[in-house]
Parts: sequence; C-alpha cells; structure tokens
Amino acid sequence: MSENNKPLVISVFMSKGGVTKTTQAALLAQFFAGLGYTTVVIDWDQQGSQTTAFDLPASGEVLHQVITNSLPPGMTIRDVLTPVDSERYIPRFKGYDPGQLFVAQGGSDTAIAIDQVIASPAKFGMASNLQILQRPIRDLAGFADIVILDMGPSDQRAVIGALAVTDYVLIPTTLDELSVRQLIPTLQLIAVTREAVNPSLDVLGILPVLTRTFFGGLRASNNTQVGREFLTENHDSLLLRSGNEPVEIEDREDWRDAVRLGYSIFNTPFPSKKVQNEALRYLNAVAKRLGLDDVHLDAKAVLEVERE
Amino acid sequence: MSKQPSKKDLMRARAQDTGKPINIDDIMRAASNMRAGVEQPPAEEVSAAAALPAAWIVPDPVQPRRAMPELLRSHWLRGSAIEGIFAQWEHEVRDDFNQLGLAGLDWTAWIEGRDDRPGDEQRAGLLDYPLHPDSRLWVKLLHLASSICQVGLETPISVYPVGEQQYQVLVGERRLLSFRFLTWLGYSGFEAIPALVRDGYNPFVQAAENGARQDLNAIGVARQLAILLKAMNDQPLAVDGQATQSWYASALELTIPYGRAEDVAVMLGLSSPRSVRLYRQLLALPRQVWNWADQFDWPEGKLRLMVRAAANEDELIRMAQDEAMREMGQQPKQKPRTLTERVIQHSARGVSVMHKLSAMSDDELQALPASERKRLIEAARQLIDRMQ
Repeated sequence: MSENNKPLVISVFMSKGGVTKTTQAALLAQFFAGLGYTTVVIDWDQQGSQTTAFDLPASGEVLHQVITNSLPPGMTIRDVLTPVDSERYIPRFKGYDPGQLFVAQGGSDTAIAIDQVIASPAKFGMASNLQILQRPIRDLAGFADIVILDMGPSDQRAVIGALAVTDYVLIPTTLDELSVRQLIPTLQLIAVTREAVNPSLDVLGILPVLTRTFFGGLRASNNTQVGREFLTENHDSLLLRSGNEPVEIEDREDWRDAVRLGYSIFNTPFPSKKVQNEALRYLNAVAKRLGLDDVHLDAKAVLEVERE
Repeated sequence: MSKQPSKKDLMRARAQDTGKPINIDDIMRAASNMRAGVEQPPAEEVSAAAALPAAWIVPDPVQPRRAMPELLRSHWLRGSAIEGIFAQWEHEVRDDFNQLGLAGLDWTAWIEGRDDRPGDEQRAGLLDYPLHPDSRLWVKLLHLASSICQVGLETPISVYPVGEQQYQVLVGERRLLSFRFLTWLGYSGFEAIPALVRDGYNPFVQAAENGARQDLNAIGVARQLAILLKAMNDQPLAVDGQATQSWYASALELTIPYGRAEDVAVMLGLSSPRSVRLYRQLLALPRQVWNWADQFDWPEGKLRLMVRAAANEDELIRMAQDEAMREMGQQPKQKPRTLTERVIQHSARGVSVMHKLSAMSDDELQALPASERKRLIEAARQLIDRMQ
C-alpha cells in the first residue's frame, strides 16, 4: 500500500479515555484484513486491550522485548506476532479474499519498557527517543501492509513516539463537552509532531461515538447536541463523512457481547444488521478517505454463533 | 490567543542550541506552550536579539533560581552596585578557600581554561571541596563565566522593559550575572549582553525555558511551581524586595486549573502530574530546611525521605541540620539515630549558624576570621529580627 514496502501506519488516538479507541482500532484492523491486507495491530496501550479484544492468551505480551531490542538474536517483531483467528475475526467482503491479521501484544511490561527507552534512548541504540517505534515498523516492511497503533490516552510520551511513525490518525470522541474540548490538545499534539518530525502525519478523521451508558440511553440529549455543535463549528473539515453527512457510530452492548463471546461483529448474524451496517458505513468512510472503493459484507460467509 | 508559534523553527533552533537531536520532551513542551498560548520567537528573532547594556538589566525578585547568596541578591535587588556585591562575595569565598588550603586562587585561570589551576589527585575540581554554599555558588558562576568567555553566549537572555533604559530579566539571570562578573574581573567585550526583549512578564515562558534547561534544583522547581500556581489563579506576582519562602509557600492554598496538570508538569520539566504534587509538598518545608535544601541542591527524593523519616517538624529540622553539617565537612553532634538518617547522610563538613554560635566560647568567637564573624553576626541578626 505504501511506497518502499513500508506499511501504512494508522494510529487511533484521543487524549481522553473511554472513547472506544480500542474497539475502533480492532475494527479497523478487521476491516483491512477483510480487504486482503496483511494487518498488524500494535498494542501501544499499557492495558493490553487488544489481547482482550481478540481473545488472545494474556501470556503473549512481547512488545516490551521488541521495544528494548531484547529479542533473541536473529528475531524481529515479525517472529513474535500473535495470529488472530481468521474465521472469528476477519470479515468476508464481497469480491475480496481475506488477508491475515496479527497482534503485537502489549501490557504493563510494555509500559515499563516505553518509560525506559524514552528516558535513556542511547542505552537501546537510539539517537533520540522519537525513534522508539522506528525499528519495529521498519522490520515490518515487506511483511505487513497496514499497521494499526492502539494508543492509550494518558502517556503523552508514548503517544508522541507513535505519532512520529504514523501516517494517519483516527480520532474517536464521545460527544460530551469534556471530550470534545480534549480535541484541542489532541490536535495540537498532532500538529506539533507533524511540524517537528513527521511531515506526512495526517488526520484520517474525527469519529463521533455515542456512548449510551454515559448518557443513560438519551441520544438526543442536550449534552450530545453541545458536542455536535462544537464539532461542527470547530472541526467540521476533519469529521469522517459518508457522502456529505458526518459519520457517527454508537457504542452498543452488542459490541461488548461480541468481544465477550470472542468474535467480530461482522462474522455472525449477531448483533443486528443495523449495527453491522453502521460500522460498515464508518469503515467505508475510512476507505474513501484512503482512496479505496466501498466494500459490502458477503452475507453468505458468516458464522452462526449461539447467543448466550 | 497569541499568534501561531513557529514550532519547526523552535525545534531547529533548539537542536542547534543543544547539539542534541529533538526528542519527545521537546515536542511535549512545544505542545504545552501552544496550549498555554505562549508565543515562541522564530529563529530569526532569536538570532537578531539586541545587545543591551548589562547594567540596564535588573534581576527578577521572584525568579526561582538563586545564582548568588540570598543576602547579597537582596542587596542587588535594592539597587546596590554589583561591583561592591562581587567584592564582598569574593572576600567571603577567599576566606572559605583559605581554610581549605587554597589561598590566593587566580580566577582568570578558570576563566581562560589555563593549566595552572591548582588541584590534587583526589579532586576533579573546586566543587569537590567541602565548600560553604556561598562559595559553591561562586564556583558555579566561575564555570559559566568561563564557558561564556571561551565559547560565547549561544542563547540570548529574555528581558522586558520596566522603565527608561531599564529592563528586568525574564530568563537568564545566571548568564547576566556572568557578563557582569567578567566585566568586574576586567575582561572587555561583556558590557553588553544579547537579549530578546519581550512585551512583558510571562511566567509561562519563564517556566518553559527553565523546564527545558532542567537545571533548577528541587527548591527552584518548587519556586517555579509556586509562580505558575499564582499566575494561573490570577494572584499578584509583584513583591517588595526579594521573594521569601513564605511568599512561595502561600501558593500551597492554590490549585491547578482543571485539565492543566499535564501542562504544568511539562513546563516544569517533570514527567507527570504526580511529580508536580511531590514538588508542591516542598513548599511546606520549614524555612531552615528550605534554605539548606536550596544551598546544598538537595534533590526532591532526599527531602521526601527526610520528611517521611521525621516524626515532627523539630526532628526534620534537626535531621536537615545534621545533613548540612556533613555537607560542609563537619560531623553532627549526635550520630544518626535511625537507619533512614544514616542512609541519607553525606560526607561533608559544616555547622549550622545557630549551632556554631551556641557551642563556642566568647574567646573562640573573637578568634574567628573577621569575615566569618561578620557573616555569622549578620545571619544571627536577621534571625533575631524575624523572631521579634
């Protein structure tokens, strides 16, 4: 997808927690794998969220060894990726053969390793701590087409290290006033990193997410209206769009059920078609932003999973 | 909101200034400054800074760094001639060095980097000697002046106008002092100093630059934090004379506005809001401990250990006094009573002013060198004034 075999790096970032970053990162990864791309998700969040999202063994955390260059000789990040179950997690789109999906599992050891490298980059062979992800991304060239970086909200240093190698940033946000105001420091951080070290860094789009639990089921509340108005007035050009309309998605119980049962929302009739179509609308907006064609689910190629 | 800063130029200028590649902290500071609305000068403005007469520039009463002894600095703030201050300071420093067997030091040997500087195999430099804190400050000034004399001033200081042909330092008091010092020593070419003239006082710029240099000691960081707290809470930043510890400590009642904790951490050069809280606690130190911590550059961790180990304020002061004595090469009267106290002790000599006065006989007091007697009397007089 990129010149020189370098993978396209998409980060999912917002400097506020609870906006469904992990869910969106997982969904993006599934989407690109469904399009036939070899996709790697890097769990750049100390909570190790992608391990849970893809029902992977908790013992699989390896990212700290990758970052500190302490893998056994001859091994790179390619050798320690955890493959994701294709049948359960990679959607079947009409006209596309599924690709492969891998996770570079992170966790609390990763957070410690990030702190160590940022504090003393020279100890790990780096001239600057901005190079923290440079080598892993370089080692994925020729193997991965897409790299998705799932970023935690609070460790700004780790975020900057990831933005230094990122091509596009997806910014999910809930619509409460506190969250939308956090877009300002988020975008400023992106702008500063772009100016300083990564001129190709771009915003893929802002994705408004309706969190039903936060608003207690009131979608059309004043809170969401304030948030929508703020976005329209201040960041309209950055909103992801389907056609001319901004895209919104809802953080539904179905998503959490899917994670709990261990599958993608695309690979089963459960949850509802409405949820799948909503997700596809958002993903097609991403595809359009990247210059790809719209995709449609292959309705025949689904798993049947008993609802618990 | 100020105009968009030229971040790329700032990064490039900073990389050129330090010779180091840009790192994550540089980007965090730039982002924080952007949020704070801090205007950063483009590289062109920095290189075209005006050369101002150093004599036109006065120090900032509240600035967090102490580049010279507090007492002498207060004289400078009140308008005393810097030449007289240097002379008095040198007199006391030479007394200190004389007692250490280093009489007749030629400061120009350090300024010019000559090989005739005295030394011995055990010591790498003057700072390895158990010096009085005022002498340590002198040596640090000597080192900076030496660097400026041999290499030049790479970064202009920042000032703002406070009157006709008068400016106040925003950032760069040590550099200014170095220029005045070199002139006083007889070197030509340091009568004017490159200075960036800003519109007015901006504590955020001051904090950001001090945080970037990361050379404030723990008490300096605490002072800077107090200034930021006052600025963020619209408290007045003007003082009459030199800001005292109680002035900084009054910031303890103030809170960081919601959502700004990370900005404050970045401006102070700290890793997280948690670190900010630790330095905030230093504002509550007893005045004596605060002074010793400042004079001996005790790190925050050491102070935190002392505070935790002490059962009460009196014990904390006693522990700190013992530590100060060790820094100056003298053993404390009582041996450390706890493991924690033994862990935090240093090997150095010295006694506190009050301990020395009370322990000596009249004959012993009269036998002290005149300069030391004068220094002790002045310190005791200040203490009496405060207690009355």
